[in-house]
Amino acid sequence: MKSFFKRRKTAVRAKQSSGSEDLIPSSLSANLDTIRQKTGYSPDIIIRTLSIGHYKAAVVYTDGLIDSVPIQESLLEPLLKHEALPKPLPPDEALPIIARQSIALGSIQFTKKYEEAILAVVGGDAVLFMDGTSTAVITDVKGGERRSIQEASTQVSVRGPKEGFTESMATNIALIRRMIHNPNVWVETMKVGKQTKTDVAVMYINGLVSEEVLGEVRRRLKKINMDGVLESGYVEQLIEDETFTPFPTIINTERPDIVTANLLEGRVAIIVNGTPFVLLAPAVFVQFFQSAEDYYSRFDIATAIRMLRVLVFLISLIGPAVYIAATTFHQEMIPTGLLIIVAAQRDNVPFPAFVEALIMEITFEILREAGVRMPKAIGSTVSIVGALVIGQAAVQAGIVSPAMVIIVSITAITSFATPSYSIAMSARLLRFLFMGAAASFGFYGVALIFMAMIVHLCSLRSFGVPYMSPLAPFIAKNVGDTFIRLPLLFSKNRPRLFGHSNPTRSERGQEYDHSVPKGMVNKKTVEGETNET
Amino acid sequence: MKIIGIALLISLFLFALIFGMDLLLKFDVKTSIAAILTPIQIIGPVEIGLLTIFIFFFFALPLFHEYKKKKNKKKPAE
Amino acid sequence: MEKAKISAFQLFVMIALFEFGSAILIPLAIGAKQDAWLSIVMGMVGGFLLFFIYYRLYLYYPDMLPTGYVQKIIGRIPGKMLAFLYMIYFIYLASRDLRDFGAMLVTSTYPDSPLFVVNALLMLLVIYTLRFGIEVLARTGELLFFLFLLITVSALVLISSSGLIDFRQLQPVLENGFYAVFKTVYMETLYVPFGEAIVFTMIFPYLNERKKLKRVYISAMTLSGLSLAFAMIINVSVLGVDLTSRSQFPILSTIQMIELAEFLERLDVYFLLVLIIGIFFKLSLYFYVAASGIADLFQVKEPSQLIYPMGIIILLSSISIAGSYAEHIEEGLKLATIYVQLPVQVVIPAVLLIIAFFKNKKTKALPA
Repeated sequence: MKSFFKRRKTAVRAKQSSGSEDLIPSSLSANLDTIRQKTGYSPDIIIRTLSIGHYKAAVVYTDGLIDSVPIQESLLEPLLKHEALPKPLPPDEALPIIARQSIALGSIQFTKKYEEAILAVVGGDAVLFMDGTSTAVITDVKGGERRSIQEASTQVSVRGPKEGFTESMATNIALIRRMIHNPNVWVETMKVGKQTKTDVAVMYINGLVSEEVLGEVRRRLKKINMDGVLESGYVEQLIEDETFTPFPTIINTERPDIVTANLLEGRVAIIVNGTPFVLLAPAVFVQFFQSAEDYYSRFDIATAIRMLRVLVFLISLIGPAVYIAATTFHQEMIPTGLLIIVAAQRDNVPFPAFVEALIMEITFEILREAGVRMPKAIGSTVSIVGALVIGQAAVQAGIVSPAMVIIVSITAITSFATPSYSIAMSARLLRFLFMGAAASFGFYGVALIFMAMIVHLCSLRSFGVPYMSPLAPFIAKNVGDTFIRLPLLFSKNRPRLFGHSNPTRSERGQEYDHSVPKGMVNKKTVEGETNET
Repeated sequence: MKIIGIALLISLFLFALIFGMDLLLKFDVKTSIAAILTPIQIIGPVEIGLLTIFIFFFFALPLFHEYKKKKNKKKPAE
Repeated sequence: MEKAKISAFQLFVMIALFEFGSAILIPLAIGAKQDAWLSIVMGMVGGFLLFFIYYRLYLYYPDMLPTGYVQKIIGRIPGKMLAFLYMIYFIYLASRDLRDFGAMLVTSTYPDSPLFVVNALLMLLVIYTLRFGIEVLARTGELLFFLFLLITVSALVLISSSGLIDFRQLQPVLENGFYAVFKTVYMETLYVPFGEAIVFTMIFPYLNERKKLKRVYISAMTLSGLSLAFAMIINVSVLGVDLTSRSQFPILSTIQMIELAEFLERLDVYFLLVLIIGIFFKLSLYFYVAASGIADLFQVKEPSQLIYPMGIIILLSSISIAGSYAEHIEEGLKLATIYVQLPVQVVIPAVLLIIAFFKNKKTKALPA
């Protein structure tokens, strides 16, 4: 049965590939008829016939995907004004000359293949056909309405560039190029998705990138076999190392500065047309606790904040679980004073701690999901309902204890304080697992699940790079930029596991020239002389 | 099959060792045998369930693996 | 042999965690009374001597598992049989450790929970871990080692700042003479925990930097030996000799004594994590070594297939191993040492080394 399907599939594929070999018919009217027919007479496929000198020609493009100014001023106008050639040439020879003389656009391309031409039309290019020749000219007039560059909405920072990526791949690549003026920034594009033919670009810095990782990225992208790729999330899920894991093994970001910094570390960026989220591979666990701003602020504060984030992650994972374990199994470890308060509160509650926690956590998840998907106008209603009904009324009714409300609120806030949305999502899911373990086996259960999580994290790899590096395997050179951030002075090494093609960032370290004394450079302003003023 | 055989061989030797230790502790043969059988004797219904599942997988996993391997072997020959 | 490599630091961490493992739980060398720490230090020195036997053997056959080179030294069939018995021995030790831990947990924190379930949960975790192989175990060790250090250091700070330590409990030194200390070394500390490191002979071939082996091993041993001795000093000076020897798990009793600022009390539950890490590691290493050895001996192509059945065997035998905890400790510290540990850890490796020495006289071993 299986093999039968397989054979059919290959047969279909063979047919398709032979179809793409079809050449453009040299008769213009036949040509245009086929185009109309193939596009189902869709009214947004615009066919403008015109005559250039004594040649008959047509420009075909898709309405809305093109920029109408260049198509009028740089393509149609000069073509219409084109003077007759000094001697009549066959159309085959005339077309390149006309194209060279009269198309005032940056990028033009000749093709004889029908498939290529029609893909260019639906992809937002304008294509010039001419009667009597099977060559067509593809001109780049992509444009149309698009979202302008705005501030990134997911990874907001106080300090640092505010630009965020947009849905256009070309814009995104340009945003990155604006940050690194370096010819070694290389871009490779390919089309992914059998039906959508989405543009996907792989971007890296030649000489810094690890060839193995790059090769692996290319290989996996080529293996994608799906009919539609609508967002980089599709690509992420299809090329990640391990599907069955709650943890993300590829980073996504909306910020060009993060992409640039990662390219400089030797990573590969994957840009998918149609989404502002750019993928970065390989990813390591500690990266999800780092934000771009850490590098722009001073190292001591950055380190303290990173530590805070780890704490936040832990609380959001095991906060409710610890409460459940402590109140059901290990009352003796709660200080007496606190125990009396908690016990008095829990006295009226009809449920065991686990059920209580479950009710509150699920309620919170519902509120949160509602808050995300709702029209903004109703948002305030939900927050009132959430705060009053669920918080206050539930406590007054004696269904949950106030301590539980505090715990749930803390975990709720912690899940928003993680810089990476994707890692916060993993914690959100795992929290329930920890709660279950705590309810059945107290701290022993929590500890076991915690260890299992660590084992799982250690077993993960992202494009061959151990997920927990540089902590496990421990790489002393790279530990300066993990949960701590040492001053830039000390972080002169690229990540060893994938930045090895060019391991040091600079000879002396990332700082200024040490031959200049760091003290008072101006000799006159040595201590004492300016002291009295 | 091989895996199960090895596992049974290991348990034979291991329990012989435990048995020998018990004998050395100056128990008589009867107590020593009883000591080895405790896991089955003293446990409650939950544990019996757990134990049954464990033992089921003890045999099921290697057999399943073997079945899968056979199936995989067949495929390329086809 | 698995196709894996571990780094020097990973080996260091594994040895240190392994040595801590169950040794920190039990009243180690308490036969020597207040000189238990001395006995531990001496056991450590003895451990170094044993290491040189294992190390020389390793240098003769650096790319082979002991299960392989035993066959080269004493012939194929006897070698296989001996290696198999060694694997049984490792499985036996794994069961013992699982029992140690389960009993500790049941008596200290979960009096209502059945031992079988407690053991089974840990066993499931170990089975899950070992399916990934030695590299993942080594990486896990690195992460857990930091956690381990964090908790132990904070426990130490808490104990010393709560004013419980009374060093007078350690006096008089050598009250019962030197022989009493030496006896516990010979009877106990040399084998548990230091001689138990014989399992690492099965790990040595995975090391990526061969030259660092000696340094790594000795430093890890020193770290763990001194820390164990130090833990014993703390135990004795907090609880006193009498209480320490009567307590089943002196370290837990010590931690329970902490009472600070009327807030930090009954911290043994936090400390549980350290104990779980230690036991998890020791158990995993024994189990891994046994599984890889068995796979090598029986030429099983996928060693991960062995993990589950062997795990169940260890689980069952951890329950059967002794009727009561007292019997279990008696068996472990008195009987097993003479009849099992001494020949397995000292005599047989020494004999093997002598034979290997004569066999390899002509071919030159790697420079030590």
